[in-house]
Amino acid sequence: MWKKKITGIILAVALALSTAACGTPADKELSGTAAASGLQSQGESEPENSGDKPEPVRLVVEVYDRGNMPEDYGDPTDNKWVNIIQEKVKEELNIELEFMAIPRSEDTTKVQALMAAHNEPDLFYIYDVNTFLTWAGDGALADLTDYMEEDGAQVRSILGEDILSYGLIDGRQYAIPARRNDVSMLSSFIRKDWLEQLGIEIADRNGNPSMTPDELFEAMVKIKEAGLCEYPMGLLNDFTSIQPVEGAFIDASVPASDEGKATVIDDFFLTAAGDKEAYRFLNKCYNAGLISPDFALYKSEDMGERISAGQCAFWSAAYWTYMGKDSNIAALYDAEPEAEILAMEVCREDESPALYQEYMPIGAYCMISSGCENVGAALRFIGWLVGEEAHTIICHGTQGEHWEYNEAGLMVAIDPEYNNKDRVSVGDLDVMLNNDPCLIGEFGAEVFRMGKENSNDPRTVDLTVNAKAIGESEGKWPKLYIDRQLTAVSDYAAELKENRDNVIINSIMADEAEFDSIFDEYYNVYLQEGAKQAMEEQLDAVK
Amino acid sequence: MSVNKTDAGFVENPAKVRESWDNRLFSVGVVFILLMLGLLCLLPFVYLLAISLSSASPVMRGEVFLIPKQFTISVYQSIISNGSLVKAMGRSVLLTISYVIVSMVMTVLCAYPMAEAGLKGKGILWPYFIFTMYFSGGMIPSYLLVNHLGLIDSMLALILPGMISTYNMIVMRSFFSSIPASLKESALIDGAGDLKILTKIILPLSKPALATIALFYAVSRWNGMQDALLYINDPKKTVLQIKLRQMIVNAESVNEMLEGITGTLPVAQTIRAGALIFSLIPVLIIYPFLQKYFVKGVMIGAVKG
Repeated sequence: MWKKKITGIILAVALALSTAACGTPADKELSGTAAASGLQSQGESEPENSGDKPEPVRLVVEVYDRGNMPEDYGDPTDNKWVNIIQEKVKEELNIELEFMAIPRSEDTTKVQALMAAHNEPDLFYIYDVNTFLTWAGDGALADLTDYMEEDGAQVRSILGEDILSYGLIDGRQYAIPARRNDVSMLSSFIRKDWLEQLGIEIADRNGNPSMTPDELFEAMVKIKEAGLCEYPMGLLNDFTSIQPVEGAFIDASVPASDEGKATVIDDFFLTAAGDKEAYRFLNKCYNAGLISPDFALYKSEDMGERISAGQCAFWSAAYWTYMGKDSNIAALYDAEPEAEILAMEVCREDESPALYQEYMPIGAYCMISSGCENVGAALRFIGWLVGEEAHTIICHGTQGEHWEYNEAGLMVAIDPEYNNKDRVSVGDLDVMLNNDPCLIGEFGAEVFRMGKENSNDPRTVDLTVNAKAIGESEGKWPKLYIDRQLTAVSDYAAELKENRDNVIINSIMADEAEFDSIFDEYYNVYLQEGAKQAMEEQLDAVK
Repeated sequence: MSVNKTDAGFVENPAKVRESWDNRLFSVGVVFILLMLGLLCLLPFVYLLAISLSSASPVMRGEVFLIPKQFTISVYQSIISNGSLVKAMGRSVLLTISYVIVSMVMTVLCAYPMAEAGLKGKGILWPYFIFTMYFSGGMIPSYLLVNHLGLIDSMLALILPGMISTYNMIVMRSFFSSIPASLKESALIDGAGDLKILTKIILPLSKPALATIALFYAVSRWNGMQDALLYINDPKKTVLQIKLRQMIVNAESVNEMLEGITGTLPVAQTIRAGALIFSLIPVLIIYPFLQKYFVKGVMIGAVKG
């Protein structure tokens, strides 16, 4: 009996002691496991003696883990390219880099958890501006303003004040935005072979093949009547599919000023002046049997299937979608060799260019943790990331092995297949380079074409080049950047999405005679449950 | 309802024949509905299998539904030759086995004393356990705790925090409570201790419950991803579900161009489907062996008599 009592007491004490660890205050301490678990950078140390190089500064840098590296290639924190960059940065900047792998699919969640435990990397990235603003507001980011003069000189000279302004909050620099070298986003596409078959001409306006909404409607009706396609107009409940059509209807005042742009919520033009007419047009198309009744259920992959199967005559999307090797359009061309897709735009009734969005001129926000002990070194490293050497390594590789100069003095790939195998997700090591900087400038178009010749199905190269040109042509405007956290958009996020879906789906699918009443009914609910508050908050922010 | 037949095969009571036909019709109806529901559950797997055994082109054109087109096993060949995916599966299998063993031991050791009627302090312990079923610290406090215990990047981070599920413990306790007390008493009279009673008498009688709870734990650990995402940073220790999630997300080509990166190709639908089918293999192998116990044990913990 006493044995039982002693055993019970011992177990109870063990249980109590096991909970004591929970009371240990959170502080910065080195974890006992591998480097990837989040070593904190060390302070700048004093030189051992006057002749020796100082101890290198350690920085922990985020790298996306996409789970796509072959076994023999290594992993995102340890492969050939990581080693090259580590060597160069140590030699040139006296910085020892540790890369911390963060799953791309859950990067925000993971970084937030690491922040809570003070285990976050010194440098990390995010694409979402609201998340950047939230983290800055929570004090998770270092204020870089005082470091920009000296340590940030290279960053400033290469990126310029325009780009840096996107990382300002109340005049203070909290992030270094990457420069986006390709701002084109959306384009429309049409089956040119079907148009030719039916004798429909597509005019060249403003430098692009374009159709007015009426011309598009007539063309789609003829395609349907000819039995070429049951639902010729491909449509998704997504801004990438709808915006290029809306661009033909919204009031010209919308992109003309910040106040106009502030009426756009979450990339949807629903609250912008003139947008109702876009949905009236789509409603007309739906009632003419041009849009599938299942459009609200389609995802991008479903649209791709319809395109491959020749069930779509017109669609709008991000310009690179469905392109590439082994892509949906390649599958269409395999099955129907006579098919031809043309990039075009739906211009306004007065034949002026469509007014829809392109990307802001920035890519990811590169942020330095407020817990980083070497903000200056981190900024110098960012300066290296935007410099020429990093550009060459990340975008092109090693001269003689991966690239060489052509007669025009441009860097061209020697063997694209070899490059694809030898350089997997190399771009993740330098998120500051959003696409090749060679895309900007005199030879930008040629560089882009060469890139697509390496990566795309040859039959889609011209299409991609033309679609990119349309996506950045006259009339395309960047989203508004507001340097403060917009609480209404996040507070009403669920309602905004649900009510927006209701407006879009119900107004498009309504009987033509009931369009106005149905649109107004759902639109009013949308306004009352968050849209009005979000719009007012955005308007206040730009005043 | 059984029908009494004479030795000559004649039915004694004609009224029972009419009931029998009604019953048969009912049975046929029930079987038909269950068959349809079963096929409905099976449909996604058959669809995925068909996609994974088809070439990319018919898949992209939406021509594949339940029957593969342009049959090819190249997807499985590339999955098997992809060492990282196979290793991730190996880690997940090892993790699941370890987790089930640890969880079963801890759950049984927690449930058995709680099934004792005369346990002192039960009135305090029981609400303490139930509270944890409804409330938890949340993601950040859990991460802080695991971090302080030095378990980040360790497989123990995926085993220890969740090793007792209160719900499973309650189910196990209910089952233990249903075992006649007389069995324990007679063992006590014979001089057996508590541990001996548990291992020699209670556990052998509890096989259906043990198999059921083990299956619950195994499935939850196999499918679990959130904790692996938070606690495992080293890419060399990634579990299978994280790998699959990455493959599916990487298929979103919009990410690729949003980021303007080079060298990342979207994962084809066929490969994603193949990877998903591949991940089912261990579950499909284990389940037939446990099905017998699972069917018996599925109603354990329900109100009896």
